Amino acid sequence: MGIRLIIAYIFMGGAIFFAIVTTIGLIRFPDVYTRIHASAVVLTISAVMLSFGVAIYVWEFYLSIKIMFVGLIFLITNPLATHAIARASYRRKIACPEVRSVDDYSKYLGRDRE
Amino acid sequence: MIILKYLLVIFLVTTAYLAISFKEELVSIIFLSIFSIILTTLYLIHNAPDVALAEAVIGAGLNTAIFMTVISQVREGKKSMFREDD
Amino acid sequence: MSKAKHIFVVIVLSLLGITMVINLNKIPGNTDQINFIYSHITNNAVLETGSLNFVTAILYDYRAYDSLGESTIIFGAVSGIVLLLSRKTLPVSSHGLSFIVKRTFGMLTPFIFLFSLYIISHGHLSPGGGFQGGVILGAISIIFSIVYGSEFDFKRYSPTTKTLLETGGALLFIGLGLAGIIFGGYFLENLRFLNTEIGSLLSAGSIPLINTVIGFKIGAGLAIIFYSMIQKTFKEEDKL
Repeated sequence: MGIRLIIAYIFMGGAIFFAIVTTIGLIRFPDVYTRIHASAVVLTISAVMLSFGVAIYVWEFYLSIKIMFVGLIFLITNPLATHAIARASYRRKIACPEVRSVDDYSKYLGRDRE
Repeated sequence: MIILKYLLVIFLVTTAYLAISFKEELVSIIFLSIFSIILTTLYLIHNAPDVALAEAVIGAGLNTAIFMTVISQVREGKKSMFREDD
Repeated sequence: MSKAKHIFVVIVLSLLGITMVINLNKIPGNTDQINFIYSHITNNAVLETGSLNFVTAILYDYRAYDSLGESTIIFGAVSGIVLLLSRKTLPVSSHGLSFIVKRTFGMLTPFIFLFSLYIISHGHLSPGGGFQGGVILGAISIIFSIVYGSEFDFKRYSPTTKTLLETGGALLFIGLGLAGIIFGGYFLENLRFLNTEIGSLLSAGSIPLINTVIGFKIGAGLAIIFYSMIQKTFKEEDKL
């Protein structure tokens, strides 16, 4: 077992750890915003680390490049989906309190629609 | 590998049961999508990547989009009909 | 649902799971239970069709008539759905999502298109084929409708274009079959004019052509189904 496989297993183990943290966060956090916070930040790290680990494990040029592209797509689309979910649940007023001390997002809502 | 196979089948039955046991339609659609992803993994383990690709694209992607659209259309249609009647 | 119904559903689903496991385990592997067709295909399919992917070789060469039937079924489904839904007045979310989602999908959509073309054109070399790539092509239209609003989808990828792609794909498929009669003697015979080295992109006779035709046909058909569900039938000012 060479040094390359050890590095790959370290990356995959880190990915599994972050995925478990994501699951615990999804179960334990109270409402939708904190839950998507857990899934956005930690799950993106997990997917990217998993793709790194698999690319090192395979270690063949074109195949590794393809797997890294999968990781890149994860890195772009996962925060995008989180943004869409957060915006939709803010617009539908899901789990929002009646009186808010800070509400900066409301004046940005209608900006990009003309 | 054999443990993973039976674990995935157990998850498959669980998600199929959860998909029909909720009143809310959106939850059922999300569980159907999870069902398709688990079925994709099972096909891939049994050396059928063609069927796995078709199942992933159709079951997890297209079916979810079409079901979501239909449900949103039905609800909005009811609401707008009430609005027009008023 | 009542309690007895729940228990009944669980029992039925568990029996289905058990039968699925038994049947999947009974599929013959590479070593045992070699019958005539299995050995014939594994020995001769690469030489006879030139396709490295045996599933594509069976679907679009040995049993291409079945694929013609399947695409006819999809054609009939699209016609029926358009006939049923096209006169309803349904409202639609025609504004699309936020600025960030629009710009990010502006970056990502060309790569999705490239990926679908890759799956279609490499159908005889790697897993995939016309049907799977065509569904991804249809998903691009769905992305246009959801992210940018259905008006953008109407302008960029109009229903006339979709209808042309769908019917043109069906006609080209039947035309390939008739060309098989003229040049080879059988309906949907493999026309052997793309015969470079086995394993390269332009090999396998008429399989890449059938893949391309089926891909564009399926993609346009699914886009027509989705578009007829969210058809735009009202003024934009009514929504806000």
